[in-house]
Amino acid sequence: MGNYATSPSQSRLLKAMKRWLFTTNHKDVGVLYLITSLAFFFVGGSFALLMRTQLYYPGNTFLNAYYYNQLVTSHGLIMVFWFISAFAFAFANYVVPIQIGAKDMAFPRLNALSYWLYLFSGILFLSGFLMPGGTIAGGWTIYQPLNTLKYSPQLGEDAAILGLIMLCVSVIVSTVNFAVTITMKRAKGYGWLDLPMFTISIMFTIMMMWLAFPVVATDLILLFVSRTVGGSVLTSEAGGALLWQHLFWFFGHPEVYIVFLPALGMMYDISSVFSGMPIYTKKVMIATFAAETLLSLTVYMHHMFMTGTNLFWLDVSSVNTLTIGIPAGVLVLGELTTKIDGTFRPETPALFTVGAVIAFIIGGASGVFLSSITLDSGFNGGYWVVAHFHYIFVGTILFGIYAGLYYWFPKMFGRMYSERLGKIHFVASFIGLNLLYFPMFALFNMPRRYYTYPSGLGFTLPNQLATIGSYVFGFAQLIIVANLIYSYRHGSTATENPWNSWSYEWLIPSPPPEFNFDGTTMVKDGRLLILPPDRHQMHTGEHAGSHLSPWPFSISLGTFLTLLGLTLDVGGFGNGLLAIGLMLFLISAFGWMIDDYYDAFPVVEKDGDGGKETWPFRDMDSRRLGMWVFLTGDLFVFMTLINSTMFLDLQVSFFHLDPPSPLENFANFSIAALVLFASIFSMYAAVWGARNRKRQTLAAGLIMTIVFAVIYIGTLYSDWSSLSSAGKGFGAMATSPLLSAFYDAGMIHLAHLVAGIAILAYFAVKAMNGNFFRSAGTRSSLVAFFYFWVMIAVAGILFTGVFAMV
Amino acid sequence: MEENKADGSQGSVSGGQDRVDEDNFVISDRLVIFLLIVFTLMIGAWWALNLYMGRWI
Repeated sequence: MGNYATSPSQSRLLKAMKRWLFTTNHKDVGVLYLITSLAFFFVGGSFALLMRTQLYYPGNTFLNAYYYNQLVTSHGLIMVFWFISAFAFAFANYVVPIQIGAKDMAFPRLNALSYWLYLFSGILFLSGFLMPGGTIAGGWTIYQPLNTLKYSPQLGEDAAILGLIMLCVSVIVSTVNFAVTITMKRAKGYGWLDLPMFTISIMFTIMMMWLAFPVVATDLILLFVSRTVGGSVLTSEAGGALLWQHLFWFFGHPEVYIVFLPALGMMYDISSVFSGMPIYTKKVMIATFAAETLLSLTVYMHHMFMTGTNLFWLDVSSVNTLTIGIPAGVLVLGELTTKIDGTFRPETPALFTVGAVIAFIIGGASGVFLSSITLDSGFNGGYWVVAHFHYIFVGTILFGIYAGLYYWFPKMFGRMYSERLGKIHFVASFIGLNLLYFPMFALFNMPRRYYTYPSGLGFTLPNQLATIGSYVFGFAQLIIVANLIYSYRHGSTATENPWNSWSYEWLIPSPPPEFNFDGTTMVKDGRLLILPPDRHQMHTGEHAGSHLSPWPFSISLGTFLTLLGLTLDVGGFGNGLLAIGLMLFLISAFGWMIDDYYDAFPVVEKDGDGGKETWPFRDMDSRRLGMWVFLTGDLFVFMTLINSTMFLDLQVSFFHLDPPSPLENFANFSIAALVLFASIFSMYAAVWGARNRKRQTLAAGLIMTIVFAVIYIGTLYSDWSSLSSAGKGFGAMATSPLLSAFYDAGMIHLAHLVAGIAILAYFAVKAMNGNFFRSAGTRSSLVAFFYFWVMIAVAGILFTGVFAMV
Repeated sequence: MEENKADGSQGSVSGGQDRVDEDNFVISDRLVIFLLIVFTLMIGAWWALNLYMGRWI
């Protein structure tokens, strides 16, 4: 196990398949991300072209409303979720580990898992088009009640929602991985502030990701439950529609900055390289990134100006939104000053950064209008908003990442791209961009998302210009594909550092060798030193170990089949897919756990020295830090549920809906929660046993923890069945939003518990077989799991308290 | 490199990339986690306040 290296006798095709399906190398995963995200770009882009074609004439019948709504919704979701963020993270995967002097990500298998979940989630989403009734058509913001079963009965919407949930899991996994990689895997002596701006921007991006994505995943689970089981958290008259906006935009606004910051980080590094100057006031720019990150999480209610909530609080949001203009302005100044200070070399990456700055000024300035509640009441439903955010998404972010693509292409593929084609691509894209989106400002009074418009209102000319622009822009994108394919085959060979850059990925050959650096890295006086591999490392066979793993691929395939089967089952097309997928998932998850991957591939296994710090920071290593990051995200899952419950409770009392107390038997329930809480101590006993090499204590602690958890689940079951016999079973969820919230929270908590018990059982078997003390890594997993268990137990107490109060 | 000296213990294997100047790195690690928790709680509280203020009643 662990070593899946190919033998020379295998055919080339088989070798290539093995490499690309089972790879866990961050560079291979980066290339996979790049190709897949570009494929999604062309899918989403062709949807846009179809829509623009429809809007060329007033009253055009090229598409009807049914198809147009599906296309406009899918275009938004694909571009936001499957293209632009993944496109930036293709480079994050490839470049960040090299920039920080590491040999791979902290968790290479999780990195591959992220990619395969991402790919299959996209396929699941697109499969919605083939399902009865078509796919999701209620807008990319998935507002309620438009997207409930009543108004959107099509089966494809369920597939789309499950695809989105799967994508969220992929992003959460990536978040943990990048947070740990950048924190723990930097070369010795490499300070935070000395990192390249791209790596710093990724660090800030993941700070937003780990709060935003668990929330949207929970929202979508609530939505899926309401569409299938009939929950009413999001459909109640007591503010379900408003609650969705709170839940969605808490994710939705940071998402804009999640895609924006990586592009900005690339632009800084590229501007600096192509003007031959250091980044202008780099520390101020980093502080500005931090300000943007923090503010992005506080302004989401500006998307809700038209909801008719508390005007004072909307004013607060409006002021916060205006405040975001200040760091944004500082960022533009820093970017421009970096360019102007030095001697500007007008090569393709640099040109794209110039285009991005121009588009950002137009898009940013038009956005400031929208932060005013008064103006927003006029602009909100029209094309002004479309023009604004496309100038940001396409003009700024896509151009910024294109700059990165041209900049790193020689490093990734070892060939230079065609400079002439690159410049033609830039000019055509820039003209297309402005022809496409600038006329939309003139359409500020034309309602967006409508599939047609009448003549005689002055809408025709701007629409025709925009459609012509969309074709210019669309065909311009074929130039880059041609350029990449041609240059990959016939381009001139790239040297190590064709741009005269200063960041560390340019110190090693293009393309980089499998483990990036041939030895240990350290940074001294701003220079990266690569020390030859020491004796010990050579003995552990660092460079001989293969690091292919089939499990990330098969887990993702299993998840995909499970969710596809679930969708079809919901639609009454019952078949065996669900069972097959679930079985594949379970087998692969078990295979993942017992795989001795880290023994075969020791380069990534780096445990801390330990003993220097006090709990809970003792022995901090990659796994434990990863668990901390995951748990802060998980906290937001629970916070989403608790916040929704509190919100509904306020509304229910006002609307005089009869609030049934979800907790039938508070005494039973609180005892169960206390039992679960007590399991923290049995789990700690297990950790103590592992630390002090006491096998019996370890095994007993683990088994006691399982017993306590099972007692809790049993009480939960008896409580739910007594609720059910009192007429408050799952069937009553449709009429009681609080009961729905109670069951949703209970189900999500139960899922945590079941996963926890499975891992505990695996630990217990391992402990009883006595092979638990073999590596420090296993003990580290146990401590990380202990943190997870504390979280579950505390959540049990919190839920009991909350549902006893409402 | 001192940290990479192979003395056979687990600690030496780790050496390298994980640890910067030991003392400094430990502090920054703690700081990262402390900030993580503060940041999370702060944003969570802010969100709860938004939900409370932004209700329909």
